[in-house]
Formats: sequence, C-alpha cells, structure tokens
Amino acid sequence: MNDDGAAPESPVDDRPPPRDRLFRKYALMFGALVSTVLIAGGLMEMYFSYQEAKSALLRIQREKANAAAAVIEQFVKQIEAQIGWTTHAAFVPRAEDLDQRRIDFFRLLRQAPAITEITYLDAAGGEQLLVSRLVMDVMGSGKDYANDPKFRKAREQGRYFGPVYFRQESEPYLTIGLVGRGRDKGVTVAEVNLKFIWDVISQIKVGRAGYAFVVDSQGLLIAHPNISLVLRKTDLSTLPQVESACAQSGQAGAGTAGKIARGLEGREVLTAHASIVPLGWLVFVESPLSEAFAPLYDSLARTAVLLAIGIALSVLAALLLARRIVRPIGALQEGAARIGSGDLGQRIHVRTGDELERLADDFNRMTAKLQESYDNIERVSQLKRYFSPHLAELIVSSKDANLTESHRRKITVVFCDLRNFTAFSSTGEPEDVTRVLQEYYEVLGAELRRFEATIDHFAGDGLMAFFNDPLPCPDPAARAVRMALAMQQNVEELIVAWRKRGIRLGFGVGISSGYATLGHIGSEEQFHYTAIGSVANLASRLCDEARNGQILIDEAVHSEVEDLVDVEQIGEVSLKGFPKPVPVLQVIGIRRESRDLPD
Amino acid sequence: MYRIGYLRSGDPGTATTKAFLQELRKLGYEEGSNITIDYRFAESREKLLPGMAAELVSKNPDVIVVCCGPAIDVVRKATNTIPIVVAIAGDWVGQGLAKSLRRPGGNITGLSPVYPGLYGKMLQLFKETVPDMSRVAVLLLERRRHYQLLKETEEAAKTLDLTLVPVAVDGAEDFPIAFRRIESERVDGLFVLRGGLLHRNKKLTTNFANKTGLPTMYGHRQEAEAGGLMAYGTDVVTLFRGAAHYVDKIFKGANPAELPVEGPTEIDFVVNLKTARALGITVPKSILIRATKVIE
Repeated sequence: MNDDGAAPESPVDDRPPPRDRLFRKYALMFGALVSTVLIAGGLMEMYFSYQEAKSALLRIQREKANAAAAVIEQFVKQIEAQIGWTTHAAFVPRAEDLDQRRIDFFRLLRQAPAITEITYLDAAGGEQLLVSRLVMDVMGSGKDYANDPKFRKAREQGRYFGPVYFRQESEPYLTIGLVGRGRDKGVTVAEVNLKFIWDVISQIKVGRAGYAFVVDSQGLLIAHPNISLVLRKTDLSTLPQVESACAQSGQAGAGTAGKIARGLEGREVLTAHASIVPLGWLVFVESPLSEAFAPLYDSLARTAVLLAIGIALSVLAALLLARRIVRPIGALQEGAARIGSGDLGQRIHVRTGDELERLADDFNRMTAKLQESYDNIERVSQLKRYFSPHLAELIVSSKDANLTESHRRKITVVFCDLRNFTAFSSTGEPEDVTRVLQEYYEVLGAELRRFEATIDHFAGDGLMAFFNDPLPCPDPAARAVRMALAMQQNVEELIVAWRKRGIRLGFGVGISSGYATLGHIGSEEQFHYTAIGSVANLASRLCDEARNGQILIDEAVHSEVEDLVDVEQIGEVSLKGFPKPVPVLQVIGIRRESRDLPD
Repeated sequence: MYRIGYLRSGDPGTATTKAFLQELRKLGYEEGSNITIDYRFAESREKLLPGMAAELVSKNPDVIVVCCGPAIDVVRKATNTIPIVVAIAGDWVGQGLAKSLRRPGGNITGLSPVYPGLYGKMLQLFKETVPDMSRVAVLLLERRRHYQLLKETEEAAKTLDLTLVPVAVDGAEDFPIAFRRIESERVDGLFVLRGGLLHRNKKLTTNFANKTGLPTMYGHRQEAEAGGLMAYGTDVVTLFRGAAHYVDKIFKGANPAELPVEGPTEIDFVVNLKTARALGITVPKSILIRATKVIE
C-alpha cells in the first residue's frame, strides 16, 4: 500500500492497452453522440407530430359533429316551422275550421315526408283530429290527453319534445308538440320518423373506422350506424365522454375540444361532440385511436426509417472520423514503439497539417536528440579507450568546451619508456614486438587508470601522462610517484619474463611538476589534449636520463613528496633545453611509515 | 369480390332489378368489379324454384336476395346460414321468417310493405273518393295471412259503413272464376290486396275493373298507372332499393339476425283521373291534395 493510501498498481497491468482502443473509443463516442442527437430530435419530432395529428383529427371530428348537429337541428326546426304553419292565430276551432285544419294537415303530410301522423288536441286536451299516413284518419274522437305530457308540457313551455320511441319495435319516432298561437290554445302533435336522422348519422365517416352516434339528454343511444344497438335501448350515460358532455350540455352549438376516451366497444377512441340545442341531444363523432393515428404512425415509421438511416450514416461517419483522428495517433504510437525497441533511425510521417503533425515533428526531433545522446554515449565509451575515463566523461558531460580550452595550471608530468626498445623493435619479430607492447601497455594502463592519470600521448614504448588536469586532484605529485613505483614494480616482472624469452629491455620514469599550458592542439577534425611547457620537457629529459629501474624526479616533485618517499640525490644534471643544470633526485621507495597509509 | 344470389319467382322484373343494381352502384358496388350476381328467374314456374335455390346456394354467395312468396319459402329451406334479404314480405312473424320485426334472429331479414291498419287507411281513402260505395269486393290470395288482413280490414270497413266481400285466388287460372264471382256479387268497388300473384296479373284485374266500370283500389302504384283508379302503398321499386341497403350492411359485416325488418316509410298515392273520368267519379280535393301522383 502506498503512503497516500492509493491502491498499488497491479503488477499484471504492465501489458499495454489493447490495440484499436482509441479508435473504438472515438468511434463509439462520435457514433453515440450523433445518434443521441438524432434520436432526441426524432423523438421530439414524433412528439410534436403526435400532438399535431391528434389536434388536427379532433378538429375534423369536432367539425363533423358540429355539422351533423347543425343538420339535425335544421331538420327539427323545419318541422317545427311547418307544424307552426298549421296553427292559426285567431281561431277558436269550430267544425268548419276543423275541416280547414284537416286540409292543412294533408298539405303538411305532403311537404314533410318525415311526419307520419299529426294530431290536433283542443284547449281541453281532447283529440279533435288525427291525420295519418299509415292508419285511418280520425275526426273528433275526443280522446282525453289532458294529462299527457305532450299536451301539458306543450302548454307550459310552448313546445314539447318527447323521448325517442319505436314503432313496429324498429322504427325510431319523436313526438313534437306545439301549442297554438294567439287565441288558439290547442296543441298540435306530430309524430316524426327519425329515419332521416339515422341516415345523416350513418353517413358520417371518419377515416375507415370512425363513425358518429347520437344520444339523448339522458345518455340513451338514439342513432348509431349499428341499428341493433339503438333498438336494444343501449344506455351510454356511463361512458366518460357522454357523462361529461351531458353535464355541460345547454351550451349552445359548439362542442368541446375533444379528447381521448374509451368508446362503446371498449377501444380507445378520439371523441368530439356537439349538442343539438332544442332537443338536448348530443352528437358524438369518434374514431379509434389506432386508425386515427394510422397516418401518424406512418409518418412515425417514416421518421424511424430516416432516423435509422441517419444513425447508420452517422455511425459510418463516426468510423471515418475516428479513423482520421486515430490514424496519425496510431502512426505516432507505432513510431514510438519502434523507437522504444531501439530503432532510432525511424522518423514518424504525419501530414495532417495540425497539432498532430507538430507532435510528430517534435517526436522526430526528440528521437534525433535521443540518437545524438546514444551517439554521444558511444563516443564516450570510445573516448574512454583513448583517454582516461574521467576525462572522457568530463568532455562528454560538460556543457561547454571550456574545459578543453587552453589554460595554465600546475601539473605533475610523468614520462616513461623502455630501454633498448628501439633496437628490439627493428630486429625483433613483429609478433614479439606487438606482444611485448601489449603486455607493457596492459600493465601501464592498469596503473594509469588506478591513479587516474591523464594520458597525454604514447608513441611506441614512450608514454606521457600528467596529473591535476583536466580534473584537479589534491596530490598530483604523490600520485605520480606512487604510480611510477607501481609501474616499475609490475614492469620489472615483465622484464624478467621477457629476458626468459631472450628479450632484454629496461624501464625508466621521469617525473616533474610545474606550470604548463593545457588544452586542445590541432585542427578542427583532429586534435589532441595536451600539456605544453618546460615541465613536460623536464620530465621527458629526466626519463631519458633514467637507467633501468630508475625513477628520477625534480625538486618541485621532491618538495611535495618529501614525507612520502625515500630519495637519493643524483646531483645537478645538465639537460638539453635547460640553460642551468637541474637538481635531480632518484626515488628509492615509499617510506616505511607511509606504507600503511592508504593509496 | 362479393357474391350475390338473386332469385325471383316471376319475370326478370326489369324495373325492380334495375333499381336494385342502381342503388348498389350508389353504395359503391359495381357488377364485375367488386360484386358478382347470379340471377335466377322462375317466371312463375314454381317447380323450378327448388333447383334454382339449390344452385344459388351451391355457389356459396355472401348474400341471397329473394322475392317473392314461393321463392322465399324455397330459399329458406335451402339454407339457414347464408344471409337472405327478402325484398318484399308481408307477414314476417306469421310466416316464421323472423322472431320479431326488431330482431329477426335467424339468417333472414328484409323489408315489409305492410303496417297494421294500412288497409284500413286505404279503405278510408277509397270511401272518401267514392262516398256512395257500400259493397266492396276484396280480391285476395288464398293465404292465411290475407285472411288475417281481411279481418283487420273488416273492422275498418265497419266504421266506414262498408260491407266486404272476399274473393280469393290461388293461381293464375283462378282469376276468371274470381272475376265472374265479383260480377255476380253486385259490388260497387273492388279492393285488391298486395300479393305477388295479384301484382303479376294486374293487367287482368285492371282490364276487368275497367270493363265492368268498377272503381278499384290497389296496393301497387303500377296498377293505377296501368289504368286502375287509385293505388296506395310502398312502391316495389322503393323496396328493392331498400334491399340494396341491406345487402350493403351485410357486406360490411352486419348480422342479419340483428338487422330489424324495415317497414313502409315512403307511401305512394297514385290517382288516375283519366280512369276517374271514365268511371264518372269526381275525385275530392282532399284526396287530390294527398296524392303523390295524379295521372291526367
């Protein structure tokens, strides 16, 4: 568990994420986004279409209901008017007047085919005249209708509309009673055949399955395309649309906005109604929801198909779009993978003209830099073979070239070479010479490395190294001397081995301290880090002077290593290139006290 | 494609059949395009009727339209599943064609030209036209139903101060005998009931009436148009138009058991003034006012 309490990364998750993840992610995202938008749009459109279709249909139905109501109202009003013509304002009926009325009634029968029978009741409610299309006329029967509602109501309210009844059990009739005008207090009663209304109602069609029906003020069905329902005296007052319509009846003419309810057969219907005012009847126009909405469902299906096509296209577009985005990213990823597996020569080619192209370019630059770094590291390891590792690393790691710019410093220079090597190299077998040199340099190299000397150069058997540059050290002279002693010891062993092989060589070392000029010497392509100055010349001459096994040093070195080594005065020696004779000392060995000190 | 079986006991009644087809066309049915009609006319040869009925039934029609009398009986026996529309029948319940006019209850429905009291009405109009009339011969079919009607009509006759003399026929060959009987009865009016046989032989009747100078009241307008004095009743053509509406309802899925029998709604009242003049009768204004057609 980490400190911050987060769950540790499972070691198994070192696997890279699956391929095409990005593509799938984007494709899914785009596809889902566009699909969602399409679907949302489609659903909204469907919702609005539904509302529009519903209100349009209801409008139509309401209009049909109003039209039917108007026709029926007109029919009834006309009959009322026609009956009214037969009543005469000024008459109190007498026998002759009855004759006249009879003629009027005949005329009425001719003019109003819907009227089957007309009766005249006198002011006392007695039947004076009955004229019929179907049965015998009756004159002056005197039958008493004083308590009959058709007489009483007509007298009270001026007119009377009876409930719908059936003749011959199958024909709908309506009784209309009208009181006379002026001094005529009698009542004219007409029996009206409602077949005409049935025809009007059954002709109303709404679509394929829509129809109209009429109920009276109590909710009793009085007209319907299915006659048997009417004859069965079906009571529709329980249907919610009928109930509410009856409740609000009395409002002239126009019906309500219409609504969805359950129809007669129990199916859901769109229903609108209108009221027929003088009668208190209600015309309903209904169409089953399924059929009413058939065109809507058609357009919904169309929308759904278009939606599906749109979604399919958007999925396609999403795939294409995702590919366009993901492909350059994939190229980047592949390039990075190749580079990651070591192929630094690869460059990523992305030409999209956008940030991805810039990313690819940056990536390539980075790869180039990486390649440089590797090359540098290569060079360092190469350099390490030529120079002391420290110098090589220093050169490689330093940011500026200052280190190798020319500068003056106090250094300790060491020169060493093999006695008789020249003679040996010209007379000996090349393999022997090479072998000797290899053995020699192996030994020297080990000590040079151990003491961290900077190799100036070596040529054949001669080697020049120095201390305190480019890396400063606290005890350059001491190191130099110790190194020389170690070299001498090791080379001595080699000399013994060589002698056994018939090779007679010797080893000598010269060491001096002093100021020198250090830096790169040479041209741009080939240069050499070297120390120049009299200190180098002195060390060289001292080496020349040294016989086998001798390590010769100058005063400067001696002053630095006085406590470390035992020396022997050689005296003042004239050396080539030096005006005055130089005091020279020979190093005998490490002082006993110093031997236990660490190197 | 709907199939109609069409069976008539008489001649190919051109007027009625034409009216039937016309009304079907108005309702949207065209022969050859959405309906097929198989026609069978027995032309008064009653023996052919059972075979024809069986043929029509075997073609499995959606509805059979039939008229009248004997043809109806035959078709009833031939099927009780295929809907039957009877264009004209006077005695639905009595003949067992329907349980009630409101709800026939079987596979038969149709139209009726008859209304209780209608014949009384006709007598009343007759008497009003010829007020001196007192003895009226009633030409009827030898059928129980007609005798029933006769009884009803006798009630009306009493109130009108008329004596009725029934004369029955059963077949075409009975007419001459009937006519001779009528002549011998010394009646001053002839009242012909509605019946297929009587309607088919209207020429005989009208000729006889005119020959003998008898004022006659018929049930079919065609009789008055053919020379009878007056006729009051629903036109057979109207009834056949009504039959087309029944066919339409049945095609739309109505159950004939639930389709009520339609009674007379349109009544034609035809007065032939030419005949009246020939008979020396002055037709009162109150009659003329009510006439739907007056023949000059």
